[in-house]
Amino acid sequence: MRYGITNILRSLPKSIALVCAAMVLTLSICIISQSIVTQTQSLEDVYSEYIIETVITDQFCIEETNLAMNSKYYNIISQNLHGIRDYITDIKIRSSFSSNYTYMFDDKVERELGGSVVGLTYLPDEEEFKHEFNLMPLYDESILLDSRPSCIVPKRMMEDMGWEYYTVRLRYDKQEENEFVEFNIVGTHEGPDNIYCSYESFNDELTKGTVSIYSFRFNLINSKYTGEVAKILKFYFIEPSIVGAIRRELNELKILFRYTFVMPKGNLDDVVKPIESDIRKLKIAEPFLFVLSVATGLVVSFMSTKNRKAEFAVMRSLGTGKAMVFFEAFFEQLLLCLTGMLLGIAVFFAIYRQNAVLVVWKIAVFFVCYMSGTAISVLNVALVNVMKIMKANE
Amino acid sequence: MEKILEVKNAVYEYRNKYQTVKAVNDFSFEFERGKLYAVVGKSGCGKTTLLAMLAGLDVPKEGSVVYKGKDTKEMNLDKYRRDDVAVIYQDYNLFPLLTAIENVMYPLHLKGIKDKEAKVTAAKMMDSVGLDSAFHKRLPSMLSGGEQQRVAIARALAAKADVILADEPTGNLDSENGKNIIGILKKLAHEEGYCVIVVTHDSEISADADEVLSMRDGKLVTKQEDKVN
Repeated sequence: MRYGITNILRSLPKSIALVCAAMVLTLSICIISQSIVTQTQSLEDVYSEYIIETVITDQFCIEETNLAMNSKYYNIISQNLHGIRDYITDIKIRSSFSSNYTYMFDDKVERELGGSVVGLTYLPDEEEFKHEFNLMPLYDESILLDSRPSCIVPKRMMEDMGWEYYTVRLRYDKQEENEFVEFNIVGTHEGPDNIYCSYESFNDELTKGTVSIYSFRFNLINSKYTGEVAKILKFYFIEPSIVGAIRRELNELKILFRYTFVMPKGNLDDVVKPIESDIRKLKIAEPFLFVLSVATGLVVSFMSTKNRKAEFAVMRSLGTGKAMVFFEAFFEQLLLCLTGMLLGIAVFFAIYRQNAVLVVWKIAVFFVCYMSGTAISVLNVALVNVMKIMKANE
Repeated sequence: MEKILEVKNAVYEYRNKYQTVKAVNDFSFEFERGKLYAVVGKSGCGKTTLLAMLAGLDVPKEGSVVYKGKDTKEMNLDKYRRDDVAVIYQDYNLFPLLTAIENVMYPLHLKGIKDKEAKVTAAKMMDSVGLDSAFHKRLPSMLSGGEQQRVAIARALAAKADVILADEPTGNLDSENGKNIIGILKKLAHEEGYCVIVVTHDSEISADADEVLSMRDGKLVTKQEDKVN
């Protein structure tokens, strides 16, 4: 070790050159890593800035097998999109059934409902339904989201009953007389004769054989997953045509379908594509840098030790073992590489300051690559055939 | 005289793709303590190969080199080179970035001797070859050929080996320096009891040697006892 350090100090220009080589490589790796990290972060920022409002347009299904839309929607959310569930918000599922419904209060007098029964996973608002909703004082907006059967009834219905009742029973006219489903009344609305029910308590019995309209929409708050979501939706639905016309088409399940999904991406691709392209290029360049490190370690050590074969041969002839000669030569290169690496890292931090993100494993890989190259070269010297060198002098 | 090193029917071959050359062929000889030997012969006759085998850089393919009754094939050759033999080269082969005294200290460090003690011993060795403290801190590049060779001899002495092997030690020196080096080697053999074996073309060394071994085609062809001493 003493010999190595003395050598380094007394052949300073050569040592500086070797340190610079290691420093430049380290700095390059740090800068490339930093660029990848920064670009990836920018990409993440862009993705999270774009909210994709996904909508399944509520057209009629053609085949009866497709009619179980509610369970289909739930299946998509709960199973297919389970992995990215955290990025899916404001899930709005609406099922609207127009048929002949009968409702009944406690007075046992059955009345015919003039409008539809609408199942919702969310609290209806005026903007969507074009009329006003009022929740009763005891309830807040979470009421429609839990599993208790709740509903919002027309104000007119309550006025007719003199505001006396807190529950209403409902059945579709082809059901048996005792097949009423009972709902808590949690609010009223000013609109037509529709009853809005909490989605989860919406009994399948109420929807059998009725003319149905479904709607499913959600927000994807990280547009990174747009492709993944689209892929899943394509399986069940079809994409709208460019002109927006609804076509009849087979989905990936080979079922004739007219439900289409719309994912307005705006200029997301224009923003994302160049960044993705940059990251891709940097990631391609990175392994080459590691290969270059091996080559540099090899060449630099080779250049630095090739004229010293006789010196190492003398070391061997004085009784220094092969392992010791290897260690001496390797230690010199190790010290120079470490110095270069530390300087490279210091310069990197000086350039990027508090934004610097040091990817330690990449530096470690560089170090291993560089020292592998060095080891090959040094091994060549350590295993020098002293006889051959002496023979050359004969 | 005590027999210290013996070569018994040694054969050493170099092989390449096209041929096998017997650099040393059935060579036998006994070397004794306190004598200066000169190994002479034309270039390529196997002198240096013989020296390398004696130096423990390799072992003979056939036959043996025996040091103090022990075959070098059975010895740890690194230890043998470190403790029992020392080699001096024609082109000195000093470590270019170590000072003269550091060069001499190198074999002492190999033996595990501490820096302070090594320095004292190295200075003594340098003194014994006529290099005073003014030379201690000079790099080899700042020394003349003769001075470098003296440092090389001091390094060989520092190892406290019984056998000193020299490969053309005066080859790169002028006659004055050459004479001095021969004088030192002679003194080491005769006064300090080393076994000094010199491979040389130099007739002056041959003339001063106690025994001259003449080699041809890897074989010992004549052995001439020096009568002068």
